[in-house]
Amino acid sequence: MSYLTLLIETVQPEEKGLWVDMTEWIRSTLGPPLKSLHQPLDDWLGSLPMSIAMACAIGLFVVAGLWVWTLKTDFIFRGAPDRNRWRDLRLWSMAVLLPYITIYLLLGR
Amino acid sequence: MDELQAIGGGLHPIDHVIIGVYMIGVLFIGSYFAKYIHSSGDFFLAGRSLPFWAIGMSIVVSDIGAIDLIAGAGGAYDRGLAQANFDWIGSVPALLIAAFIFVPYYWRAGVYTLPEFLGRRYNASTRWVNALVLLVFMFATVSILLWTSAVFLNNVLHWNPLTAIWVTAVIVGCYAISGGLAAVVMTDVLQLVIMFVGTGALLALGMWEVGGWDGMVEKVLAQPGESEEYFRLLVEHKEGTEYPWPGMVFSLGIIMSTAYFVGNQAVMQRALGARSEWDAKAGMLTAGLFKMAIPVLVFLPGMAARGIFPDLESPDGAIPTLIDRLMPPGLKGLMFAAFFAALMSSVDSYLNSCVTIFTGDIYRPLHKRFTGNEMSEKLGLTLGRSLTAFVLVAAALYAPRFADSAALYDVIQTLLSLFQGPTLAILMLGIFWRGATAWGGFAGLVLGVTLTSLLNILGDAVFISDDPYLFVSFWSFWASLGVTMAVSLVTTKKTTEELEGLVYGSVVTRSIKSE
Repeated sequence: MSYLTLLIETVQPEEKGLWVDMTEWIRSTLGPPLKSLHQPLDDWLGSLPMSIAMACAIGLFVVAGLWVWTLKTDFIFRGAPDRNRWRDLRLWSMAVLLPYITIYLLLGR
Repeated sequence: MDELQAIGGGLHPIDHVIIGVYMIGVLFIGSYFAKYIHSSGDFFLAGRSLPFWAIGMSIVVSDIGAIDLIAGAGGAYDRGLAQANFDWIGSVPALLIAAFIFVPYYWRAGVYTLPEFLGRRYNASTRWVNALVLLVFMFATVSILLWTSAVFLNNVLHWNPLTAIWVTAVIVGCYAISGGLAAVVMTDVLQLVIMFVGTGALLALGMWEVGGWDGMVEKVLAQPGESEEYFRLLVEHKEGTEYPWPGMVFSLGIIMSTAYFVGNQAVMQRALGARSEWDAKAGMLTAGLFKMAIPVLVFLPGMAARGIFPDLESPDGAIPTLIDRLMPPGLKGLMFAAFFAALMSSVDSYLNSCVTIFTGDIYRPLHKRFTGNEMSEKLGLTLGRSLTAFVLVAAALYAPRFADSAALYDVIQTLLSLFQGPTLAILMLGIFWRGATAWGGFAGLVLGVTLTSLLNILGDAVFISDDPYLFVSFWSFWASLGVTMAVSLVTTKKTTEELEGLVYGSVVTRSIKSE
């Protein structure tokens, strides 16, 4: 049962029968054709090795880290009272990202 | 939270004292900020005075409610380490995107709410639809959280649920009404410290009892049906898996989390209340740093409980059982204060944001339309305070309706996923593509939310998981993107003058060049 159903039940408990009838009709009518469309994608994703999964996850952090270094220095420091090294938000980003990359390297798979 | 009932009876008088001192402390700190509130700008944006550390801490504690403490640890007890993705890959890339793209954009464009941007970039209809959707979500969230507090206080202190709802509402109302965003953020800082100390103590006791990481691995793997997968962040994409890796990386990591952080008024309002653009951006990164600790403090105890108490009736009993069996008097009281801190910080944040959206996106346009004048600062402040009281009372009255709904956490997730994908799609197109039109944005939002609702109903009839919100958000994002682009191509575009100060190039890039 969809959790959307639970939410609607809290609003209109007396109309539960109508809601259930409607959702069952939608599931029986649209479910099979949409499932046949989605199944090949599920099969392909299921066949990929977990090393691909880890590469994708770590890649997300790495790309974010590289992107931050493409930003202009003026943009990074805008609004800061001074330009001390510790206020460089690119370094902050590295400090945030590196532990996550390590965690996914160790525990990703 | 029925599991908490057993512990409630075991509370020592010292625990009651700690809980009482905590409640009075929150009230005192929250009320202290009332003297700084003189205008609607002070009330809704803390007079733009918030430092980065308070913003970061407030974002994290607002995001982690008591439901997450119980259900999140329960999820880790049941499904293992994959639960941590919600706070790791499901936060950090998105917080960087928010810090370096959306925060500077909102800050320089002078936009206070997401619906306000959508109204200026697209049309009034898009603003209204988005504002109403957000209002329903935030109101339901406040209501659900008040009911959770009722269950919690009923189980722990044996209070009548209705009494518990109103006590919570009165405490939150006292500082949220008088001190606005500043009071909410500064009490959040205290709440985060208490939450970290309480959960840190539980983590230490739990890991000690289970024999450290190695002991936990050994004990869990010795249980029938368990495998190494329990200790992996990324899980195979196969039938019946609740958190398959493509959903975690591509939907949660890119779409859902970005939509959550840039489209969530409770998050963005804190950034807009910063004392400078640098503090706003640094606040987001600080939140990313604190987020790292959440799975360690919340989910790891859940996994330790699996090693120590493998036969719990319900996974949600993991944390309460650890508290009951392992925590000495005094620490128990601190842990309950941590629970209550998590609850109140979420209630006050969503309450404040709900009122901000109602005032800014519903009342302010109507006021201007019928009077021809902008709303005065004084009226804004009076309205903000009155509406905070009204919404709190209405949410408290509605809260008992959630009594029969067992899956509160999933209801919130489903509510979020209804509009996360579509909103992110039209937001990104509106900022980065000059060709996005008013009707394109409106069609993308309405059809996107409709599609999301439909896919939620279809559930396991289409997807590999029974509760497929990860996939629903992913597909609704791309569908909304496609619908918005298609409708935009055949409808009238805004002129360059009309788009001035609204698209990214004319807001951020130009201001950098002019410096």
